[in-house]
Amino acid sequence: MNEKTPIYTLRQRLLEISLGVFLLSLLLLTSGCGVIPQKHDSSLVSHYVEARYEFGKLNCDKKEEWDKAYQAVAKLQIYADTRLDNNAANIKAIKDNLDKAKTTKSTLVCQNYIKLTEQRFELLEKVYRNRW
Amino acid sequence: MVNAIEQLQAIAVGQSVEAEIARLILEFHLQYQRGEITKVEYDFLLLETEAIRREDSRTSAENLVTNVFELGKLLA
Repeated sequence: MNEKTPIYTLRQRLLEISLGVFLLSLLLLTSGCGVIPQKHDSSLVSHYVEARYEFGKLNCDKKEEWDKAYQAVAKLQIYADTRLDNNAANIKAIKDNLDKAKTTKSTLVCQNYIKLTEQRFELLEKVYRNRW
Repeated sequence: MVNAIEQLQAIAVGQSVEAEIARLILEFHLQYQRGEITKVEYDFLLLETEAIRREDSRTSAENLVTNVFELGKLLA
């Protein structure tokens, strides 16, 4: 049985990965597109967990009980702004959606905004879970 | 429009944010057709779905870059 010649040696592979990382870093540093990785921030995650927990309790028929969720999202927003978090705009949009859900007179529209906001929380979770 | 609905139905399969957004768009469309929400409300909801889709792309890029950076650290 003939031995197959490896297409890439380990050295070539490492060189390619290093070059790729370097070029990608250069691209990101010059583009400023808000995707530069950030480290795990336990306080930020703690604020996120509190906001998500309070958000999960929201009921469009009991809007007078939304204060805790508002406060939790406001704290998360202030913390994310202070830390220049990449997701600060997403958190602001969560706050805006809460405003829209609360001010509408239609229960159905309120529920629709809650469902959309749930997806914004999902995106936050994806990013925060991935950080080291 | 039928084609657009079929495409959305194809995307709406799965557990991703993109799939959930597709399901929500279909749901909003039905609500609008049944007269449960107004045109203005429908348009604003669609605008928000588009904003979430853009945010999904950005966070996916951020996750990808984080992974690449961590791989780079392992090489160092």
